Amino acid sequence: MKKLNMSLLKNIKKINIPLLIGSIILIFIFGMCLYPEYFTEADPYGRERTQYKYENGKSILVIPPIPPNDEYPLGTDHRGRDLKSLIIYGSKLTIFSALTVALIRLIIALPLSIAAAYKVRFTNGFINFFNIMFSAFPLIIAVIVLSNIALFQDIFKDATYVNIFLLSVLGWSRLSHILRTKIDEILMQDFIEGEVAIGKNKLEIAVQNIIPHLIPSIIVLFFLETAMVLLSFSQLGVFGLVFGSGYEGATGEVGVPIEFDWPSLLSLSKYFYRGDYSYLSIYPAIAFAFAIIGFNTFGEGLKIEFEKENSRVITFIRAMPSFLSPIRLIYEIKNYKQYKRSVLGKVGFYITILLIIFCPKYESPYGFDENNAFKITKELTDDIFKGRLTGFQDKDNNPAQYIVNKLKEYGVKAYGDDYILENTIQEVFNIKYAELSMIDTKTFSEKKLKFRQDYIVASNFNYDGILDAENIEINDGIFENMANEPDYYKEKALIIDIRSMTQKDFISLNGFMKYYVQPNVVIFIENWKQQEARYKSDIINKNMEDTVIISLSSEAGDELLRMGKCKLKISVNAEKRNDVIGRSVVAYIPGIDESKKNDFVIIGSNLDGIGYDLDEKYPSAGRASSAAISLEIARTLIQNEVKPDRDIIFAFWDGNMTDDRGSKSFFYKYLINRNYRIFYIDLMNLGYKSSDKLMIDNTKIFPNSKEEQDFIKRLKKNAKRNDFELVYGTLYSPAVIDFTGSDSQPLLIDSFISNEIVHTPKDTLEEIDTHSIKQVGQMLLDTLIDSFSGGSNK
Amino acid sequence: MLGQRTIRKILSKVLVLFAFTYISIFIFSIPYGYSWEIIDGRFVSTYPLYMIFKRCNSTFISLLELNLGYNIKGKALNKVLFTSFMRTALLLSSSIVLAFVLGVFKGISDSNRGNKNNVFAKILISVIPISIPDVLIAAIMQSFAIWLNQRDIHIFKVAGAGTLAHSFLPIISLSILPAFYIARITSLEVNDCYKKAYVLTALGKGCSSKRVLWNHVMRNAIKSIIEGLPNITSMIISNTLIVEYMFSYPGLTTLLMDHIAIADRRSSAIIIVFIGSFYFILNGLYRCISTLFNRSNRREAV
Repeated sequence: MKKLNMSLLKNIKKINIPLLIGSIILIFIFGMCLYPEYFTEADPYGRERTQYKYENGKSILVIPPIPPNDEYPLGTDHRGRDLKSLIIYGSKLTIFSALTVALIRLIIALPLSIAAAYKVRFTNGFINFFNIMFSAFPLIIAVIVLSNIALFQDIFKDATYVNIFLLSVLGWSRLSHILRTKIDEILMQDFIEGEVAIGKNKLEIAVQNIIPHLIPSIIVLFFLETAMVLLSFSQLGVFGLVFGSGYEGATGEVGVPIEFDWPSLLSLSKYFYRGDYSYLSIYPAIAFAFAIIGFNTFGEGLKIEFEKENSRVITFIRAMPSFLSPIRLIYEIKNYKQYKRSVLGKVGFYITILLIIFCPKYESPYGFDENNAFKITKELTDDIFKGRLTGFQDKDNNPAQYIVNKLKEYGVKAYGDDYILENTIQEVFNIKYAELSMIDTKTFSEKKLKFRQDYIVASNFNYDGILDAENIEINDGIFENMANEPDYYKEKALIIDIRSMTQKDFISLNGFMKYYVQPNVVIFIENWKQQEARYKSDIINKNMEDTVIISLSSEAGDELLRMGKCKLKISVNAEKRNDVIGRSVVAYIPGIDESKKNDFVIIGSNLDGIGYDLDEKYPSAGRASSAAISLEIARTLIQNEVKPDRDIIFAFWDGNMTDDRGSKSFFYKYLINRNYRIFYIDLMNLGYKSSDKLMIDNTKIFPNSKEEQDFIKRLKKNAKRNDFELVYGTLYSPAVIDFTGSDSQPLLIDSFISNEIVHTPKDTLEEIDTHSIKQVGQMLLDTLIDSFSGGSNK
Repeated sequence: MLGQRTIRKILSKVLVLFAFTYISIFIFSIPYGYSWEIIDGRFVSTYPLYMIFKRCNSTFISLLELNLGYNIKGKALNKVLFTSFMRTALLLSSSIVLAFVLGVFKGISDSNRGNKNNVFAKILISVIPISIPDVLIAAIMQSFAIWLNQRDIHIFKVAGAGTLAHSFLPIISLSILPAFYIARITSLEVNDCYKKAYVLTALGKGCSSKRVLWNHVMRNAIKSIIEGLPNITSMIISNTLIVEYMFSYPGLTTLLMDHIAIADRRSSAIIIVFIGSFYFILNGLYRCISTLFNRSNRREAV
């Protein structure tokens, strides 16, 4: 027994502990990089928000950042994002960037070191000077300064690539120094003299002798250099150099970072590193330390292994090319008897690789019928509904009735007494046409600006007139003049360039005009750029109700200012209706789990559109397609007799852009002051053929909401299965305002397409295709079944 | 008389210093908006290149004339630089001394001294500490100081400068990583020395282990340790950036970051040259110490 213990102890002593520890850490880190979802429940985009929470009968205001607690073991950042998830999801970009930098440094350093060892002119001096240069000039300062130069941003587009490039090309010299010493040692060996004697030239010696002997050192240095790069990343992070791909937003919205990385986490924490929020810098720094320890110990462990006289690692590395060589395999197959074991091993290896590559694609047992969804989209975008504008629909033949007929046909039950949820909408309007021309008072030449391209109208009543343009500039006398001569200003078209105006001045001027002048026409020159497509989004300036308000693009505004004294011909054709009936449609598939009777999933889409102009059609096909996908999901669930654990509600909202929207009415009628837990999925504009990406906004979902976070994980998985890429951004949908609370959490889904399509005349059926509808529909259907019916029934 | 070789050596060093200064200024002379555009199939720079060189030359010449001028806020740069330079010099010199003392003693204790047991454990002991980012060290130090302050123990000031209490934490934070590096070098050198014949002879003669360590091993190892210090200098300078930033220590690197933040490119360029000068000064110093050791060893040998 004692003998056995002694031999065991001897064997343990022989174990290369640094290599073992390094391997364990690296396996853990690479696992985290490739499969982050197995390491954390929460998605990194989910956010806690400022809200009241009830604890022990007391109401507590919770404001992120939330320090570490039971729900968030590492706390949240100041945006309410779970720090643990951020670190885990951020490992991928950080580690792979570090590996890339280390690899590029090696690629640069190796040929230069060989040249220096061969005493090629200037190389030695070049390496030495580079080494001194970036020893005295801290590398991180060089990267911070150079990464801000537009040239690099223009070339690489992405901050990650700029940083990788700069860290690689400025940081190779230390490595080169080490490699040169190693090469010098190899060149001193006797066998090199032999190689020279048999007539090999320098290049041949480098390729055939130096590099093969250098491989173990290169591998070791690669891991040690990766650790060094990670150290630089941590320093860069403190100074706010973000590695992620910057920020991304939906059409005109404020964006959030696309990716997370550890340096960015340190950059976020720079405002909080003192006091109670020190955890914000300590945990990401620990992550860095953990990874650096992993790479360093693995590198040192390998070094020990390579230095062993009977190292199997070197034998293994040298045998690899021969093992993978197909020529060798063919030779061995020809001499099968001799190489039986080897052939079986290699064939097994290649079959496994082929199986992985050509693994059959997942087929869902629940077929989403894209043709049916496309047919519904086509019918909803038909001219009979005239752009589905709320309040302008026929009482009997309207989109709501169309949806109801479909739901009845599919056997989906009405939610409440009736499928249609009616509510009164105070005011609806449609600005159908507008004309704005600048008339030169000297030459009488007329320049006509393009409606919705050069300017938009932000008032909702009819107007016709020709007025003198009066440029208003903030100066000492303007308020006095306006107060003394209100009639003078009232009869003019007041031009106000707000591009360089302070907010304070703007508010003062607006208020003054409203109370003293009440002008007929005000034209604001704003910062937005001239648009190619006629973008229709009629938002009304309610500050001055009896004034025609026009917002002019920056380019058109410059043109108007250049013209100086001129007259403006203004014509607005707007149709306004009051106290109209909004018709939303709500149906549901009842859940079977009694314990989840207070839990709901609501799939919301917009029934309404933006209406037609006099001379232009706006079919809003993307919205129609979303409603069609929602309908088709309902049909497939019913047809396949899927029994969800909780109620799944299908809502088709009307009056989306009004104050009296259908979602608000639904919320007040069914949900307010009731203890319901709601997961709201808002389908915005889907099914475009030009979009191979889907943008999701899960920033309003709490990181600790397990079911919703699981849904997002499954959504990602099903997106991959349907060859769809998910990107993250901040989206805006009015319905989501009604479903954002401590007991209801919304998820928004939109197509990732250019601004030139949605809300423009291009948003037609031609932009929609069955393939895209199938991808999105199948992804959502499978995710709903996976998440809320306890998995596949088939 | 100086030999021709020495003159060439000095000239090459001066040339390197000039090249470093010029390139450093050049990096800061490139405007942030500088880029290339393709016009009629040709690359055209958005900012004339000769203007960048002109700006760079002007800064370079004014530096040679020691006419540092004023920063963007209208303050005389030489005054601002002097105060910050002295603070950083104090920080750097104190931490290098502390790191050297701690590192050498730790290195001796880490070394095998001829004993081949626990090789793996020793590697881990030396590798793990040098893998800890300076950010983490500074953050832990700061949290520790706050924890002490909350218990009315005001030994350390968390941020700022002015008193010795303000400098303790930055000096400790700055010296920890280099100390581990020096420990690593020391341990390797000591191990190497223990393999040498003269050490084995001394041991064979019956010298005490203490005597062998200090009279035979360390006397020879110390030169190599000092020669290894230049590799650590660049690391210390980089770490100074983090430490000064995190402790709001108004040294040279904080001054640099402040000037970068307000886009004062000329002042930033001058400051970076002064930061670089630390590297050259310290390296020169190490070389002098190393030469002195060499001479003293040779004299004793004679």
